[in-house]
Amino acid sequence: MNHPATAAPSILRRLPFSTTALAWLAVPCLIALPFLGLSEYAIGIFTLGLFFAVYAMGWDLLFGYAGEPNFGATFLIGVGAYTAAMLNSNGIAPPWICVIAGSVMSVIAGVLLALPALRLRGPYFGLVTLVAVLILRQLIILFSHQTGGEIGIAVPDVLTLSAVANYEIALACAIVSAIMIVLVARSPFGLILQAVGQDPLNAQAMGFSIVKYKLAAFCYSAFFSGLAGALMTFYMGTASLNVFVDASVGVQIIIAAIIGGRRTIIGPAIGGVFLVVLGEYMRPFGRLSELIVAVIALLVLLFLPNGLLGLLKLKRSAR
Amino acid sequence: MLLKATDLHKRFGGLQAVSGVNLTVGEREIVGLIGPNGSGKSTLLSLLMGIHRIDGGTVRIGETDITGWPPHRIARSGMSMMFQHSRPLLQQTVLENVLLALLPDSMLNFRFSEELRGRARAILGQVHLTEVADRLPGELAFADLRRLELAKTLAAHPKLMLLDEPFAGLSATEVREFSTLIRTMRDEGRSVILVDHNVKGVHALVDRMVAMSSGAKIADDRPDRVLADEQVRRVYLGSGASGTAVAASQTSSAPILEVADLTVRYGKACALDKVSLTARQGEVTAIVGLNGAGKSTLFHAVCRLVRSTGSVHFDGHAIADNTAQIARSGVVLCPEKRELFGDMTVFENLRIGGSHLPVADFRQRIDFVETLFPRLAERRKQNARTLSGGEQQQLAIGRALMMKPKLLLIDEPTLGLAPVVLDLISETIEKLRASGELSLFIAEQNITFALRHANSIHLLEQGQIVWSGPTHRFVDEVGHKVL
Amino acid sequence: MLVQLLISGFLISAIYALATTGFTLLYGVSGILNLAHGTTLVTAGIVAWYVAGLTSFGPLQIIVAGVTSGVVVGLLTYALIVRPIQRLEGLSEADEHVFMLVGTLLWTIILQEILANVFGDVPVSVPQIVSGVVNIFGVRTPISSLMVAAISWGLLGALWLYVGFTKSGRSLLAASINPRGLVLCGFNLTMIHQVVWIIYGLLAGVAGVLIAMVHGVSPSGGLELTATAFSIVILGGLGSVTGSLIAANIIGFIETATAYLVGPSLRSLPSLIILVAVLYFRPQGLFGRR
Repeated sequence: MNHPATAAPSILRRLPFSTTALAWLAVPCLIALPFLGLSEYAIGIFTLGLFFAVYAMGWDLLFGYAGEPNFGATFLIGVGAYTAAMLNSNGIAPPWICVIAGSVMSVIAGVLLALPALRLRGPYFGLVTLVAVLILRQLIILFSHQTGGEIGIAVPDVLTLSAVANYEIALACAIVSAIMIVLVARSPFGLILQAVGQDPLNAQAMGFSIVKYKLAAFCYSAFFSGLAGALMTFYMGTASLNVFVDASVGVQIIIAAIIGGRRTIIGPAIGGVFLVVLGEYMRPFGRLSELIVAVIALLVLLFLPNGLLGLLKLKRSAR
Repeated sequence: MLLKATDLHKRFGGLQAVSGVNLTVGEREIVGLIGPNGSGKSTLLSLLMGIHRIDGGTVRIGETDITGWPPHRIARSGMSMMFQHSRPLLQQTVLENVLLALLPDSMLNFRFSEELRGRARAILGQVHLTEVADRLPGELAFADLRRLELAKTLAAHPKLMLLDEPFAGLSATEVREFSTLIRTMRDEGRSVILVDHNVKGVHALVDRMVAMSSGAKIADDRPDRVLADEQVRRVYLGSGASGTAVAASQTSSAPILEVADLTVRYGKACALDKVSLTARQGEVTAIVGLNGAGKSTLFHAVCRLVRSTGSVHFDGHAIADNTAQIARSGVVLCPEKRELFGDMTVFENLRIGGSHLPVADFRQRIDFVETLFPRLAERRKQNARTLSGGEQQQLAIGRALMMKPKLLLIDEPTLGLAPVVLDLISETIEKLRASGELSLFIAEQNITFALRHANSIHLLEQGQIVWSGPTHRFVDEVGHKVL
Repeated sequence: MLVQLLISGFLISAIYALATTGFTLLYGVSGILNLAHGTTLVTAGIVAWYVAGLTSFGPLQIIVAGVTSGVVVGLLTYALIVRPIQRLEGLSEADEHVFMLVGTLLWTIILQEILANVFGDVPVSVPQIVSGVVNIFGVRTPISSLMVAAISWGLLGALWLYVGFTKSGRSLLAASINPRGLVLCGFNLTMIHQVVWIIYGLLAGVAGVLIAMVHGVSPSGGLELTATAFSIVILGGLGSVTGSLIAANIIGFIETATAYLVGPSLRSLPSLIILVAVLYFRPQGLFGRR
C-alpha cells in the first residue's frame, strides 16, 4: 500500500518568478561570459561544465521523470564519443557528420540496452546499466587495434581552434538540449512519463504501456548524451576511456543531478556546471581536492536532498 | 452481454485465490461484488483488468477475447479501474491529473489541446470538482481525492468501470453522493462492477449482487435474495446458532486496558475518531464491525505501530512508546497478517517468541503451547511457510502466547479458517480465559463468533464506536444493524 | 597442474567467501547495498600493515588492529551515511535507494582519499604470519596461505554457529525474514541493525587483513574489490548467505582457472560474463529472495 504523500512536489512550480523570465536573463549572460575577461583556461572549464550539464539533464529526464536510475550514463556517452572518433580518425566523414552519427549510434545502443534492462525491477536495472559500462570498457580494450584501447583515439579534425568558439558551441548544445528536454518534460508526454515513473500500475490502468514510454525516454536521453559526447570528443581532441567510458564519471553525473535538484531538468544542468567548476577550483589543494568535493557533495546530499534549487524553495516557504 | 468471464482461476503460491468463477455483466448494469476478506473479490477485479495473469479461464468484452491482454490494452478497449487507495500525481493540478487520463496512447503528444482541456473540465464538473481544478491534490479533502479518482476512471468513456472499495473512508452523506454519481453513470450507458464491504449500504445501489467466499462464487442474484441466502449469511456472520451465552461482564473486575479519545489519521482520511473503551482483566473483550471500520487500526494504535492522539493506559500506567517495549511489558498483538517467519520452522518461530523468557520458563511455555495446539507439536520441524492457513493461525497465536502476555490482542482470529479449525480456536479461547492468566481482546468481523466468547462488545463503524456493552444486550439493542 | 589449480582456487574462494558474507548479511538484514565495502576492507588491511610496521607487534595485535578499524568504519558508515539518509523526509523508496548508493559511493571516495593522503596511494601488504611451505599432493603450498583459508572458514563457521545457536544470532536471521514480526515479538530493531553493522565490521576487518596478507591492498583498489564482491553476491542471490558462499567458490575457482590457463590479465573477464548472464537470465541469482 502506497502512502502517496512521499513524492516531493516540483520545485519549479513554487519559484517566486517565472522560469522563462529567468531563462531570458540567463542566456545572454552565458553567451557573454567568455568576453568578461576570463582566461582561456577558465573558459575551457566552463565548456566542459556545459557538456556535463547536458549529461545531467538527460539523466534527470530518466530518473526524475521516468523513475529509472541510470548508473551507466557513460555507456551512452561513450558510444557517441567513440563512434564520432572512429569515423573521423579513419577519414570517413567530416566532424559534423561524425557528431550526428555519434548521436544516432547512441540511440541505437540505448535501445539495445534498455529493451532487456527494462524488464528488470528494483536495483537490477541500475546494475545492468552499470555492467553495460564495464562491458563497453572491456570491448574497447579487447579491440584496441580499432579503438585505441587504453590510450584512446586522437581525432584529427577539430571544430574550431578558438576557446571562445568552442565555448559558444558547447553553450549552443546545452541551450538547445535544455529547451528540447524541458519542452518534452512539460508536454503531455512528460506527464505520461511521470505517471509511468511514479505509479506504473495506475498509468497502465489509464492505458499507457510502461515499457514503451520508458524506452522512449531512454532513447531521447541517449540522443543528447551521444550528441554532447561526440561534440566533447572534438573539443578535447581525443576519445579516451577515462573520460568517456568510466563508471565513476557516471556517478559524478548522478551527483551533479541530485545536487542540482532532481526532477527539475534545469537544476541538474546547474549542478553539472557547478561540479566541474568546483573540481577545478579545488585543484590547488592537490590530492585533497577530490576529498573536499566528495565531502561537499555528501553534505548537500544529506542536508539539501532537494538540491540547490531546493534552497530557493526553502526561502519561499519561510514567508 | 458486455462482459463474460468464464471459469477464472488464480493461484498465488499455495493459495487458490480465485477458483472457477463465472461472471457476466450486461449493459447498463451495476453489479455489487461482496465477500469477507480473503474471499478473492479484489483479486477477481485485478484479473479482469489484467493486473494479475489469469491461470485459467477466459474473459470477453463483447465479442473480443481479452484473456491475457496487458492492462493498458484492456484499458483502451473500454474497461477502467478505480483503485482502493488514491494515487494522484502530486506535482500536477487536479485538472492535469484528469487530462492525463484523457491522453491518447501516442508518443507524439506535444501539446494539450483546448478540446482536451474542455473535456477535462466537463468531467470535473460531473464529479463536482470544478472549484478545485487548479489546486494540487495535496490540498484536497479526502472525499475530493476519491472524486478525483472517480473522474480519472470516467475520463476515457469506459463501457465498464471497476470500482474497488469506492466508499471506503467516506461519511454517510458522501456515500450517498457517490452512489448518485454511480447511478448517473449507469444511466449514461455504462456498466459498473463495484466491490465493497459495506454490504447494507451497497445493496440499495446495485442491480445485482455476487457473493464470494474462499475464491469461489456462492451467490449471484438480486440483492435481497443474496442477503437472505443461508450460505452467504453463514460466511459473513458465522453459523446461525448463537451458542451458549457467556457470563456477563463483571464490572468489579479491574480495567486492564483503557483507551480514551484515540484518533488516527492517514493523510486526509480519519481511520479512528475519538475512540474510547475499556477492557477488563480476565475477560474476553470483542470489537466488531465491518472491514474498513477501523478495528485493525485500533490495535495498531494501541501497540504504537501507527501514530495517534489520545491516551492509552495499560494496567493503570500509560502504555510504552514503542511496539517492542509494549510487547515485552505484556501487551502482545497477533496481527491479521500473522507476520510469521516463513523460512523458519514452527519450533524456531515459537522460540523467537519465547526469547525473553528465562530458560526454565521456556520449556514450560513450549509445553503449554504445544498442548494447546497439538498440530504444532506434530509439525515442529516444518517450515512455517508450508503450513495450512489454520495451522499458521495457530502458530501465530502460539508464538504470541510464548511471550507470556497479560493482554493478548488477536486481530481476526477466524479469518479464512475452515469450521473445524474455528472450533479449535473457540476451544483455545475458552481454555485461555479459564486459565485466568490473561485477558483477551479480539477484533472480529464474524459477529456470531464474537457473541459466543466475549464478555463485552464494542461496535465500530467508520472509525467511531457506536455501541458498547455486555454481550447479552447486543442482539436486542443493535442486532438489527448487522444481522 | 590440476592439484595446483584446486588448491589455489580453494584458497582464493575462502577469502572471497569471507569478504562477501558480511556484505550479504548486511543486505539481508538491513536492505543496504554498502558500496563502501571494498574500501572498508582496504582500510582494515592498511591499518594492519601500519601497525605491523610500527614495532614488533605480535600477529594477534595486528589482526585486532585491523578488525577494530573495520568495525569503526562500519559503524561510521551507519552513523554518518545510512542513518541520516533513512531519516530524510520526502524521499520516495526509489529516491532513497539511489541516495544510499550515491552516499556510500561518496563515502568510498572520502575514505579512499583520506587513506591516500595519510598513507600514500601505494599497494601495501601485511607480512606473513608464519613462514615455510608444506607439500600437498606434490604442490608446494605456503603454510600462511593455508592458515588464511583456515581463519576464513573458521570465522564463517563461527558465524554459522552464532546465527544458528544464539538468541541474538537467531534474531538477526528473523530480522532478515520478517522485521515486522520481530518487533511484535518484542525485539528492538535499531539495536539489531547496530549489531549487524558490528558483525559486518568484524567480518570485513578480518577479510581486509587477510587480503592484505595474501594479495596486498591500496586505497584506490577499494572500488574494484567492491565490484568483485558485488558480482559474487549477485550470482549467489542478494540477501542469501548460502548463495554468497557457493558463488564465492564458483567465482574463485573460475578466476583461478582463467588466470592459470588463459592468462592473469583476463582474470576478471569470466566473472563479468557470468554477471551479465545472471542479470539477463536469472536476476535473482541462485538463491535470491528480495
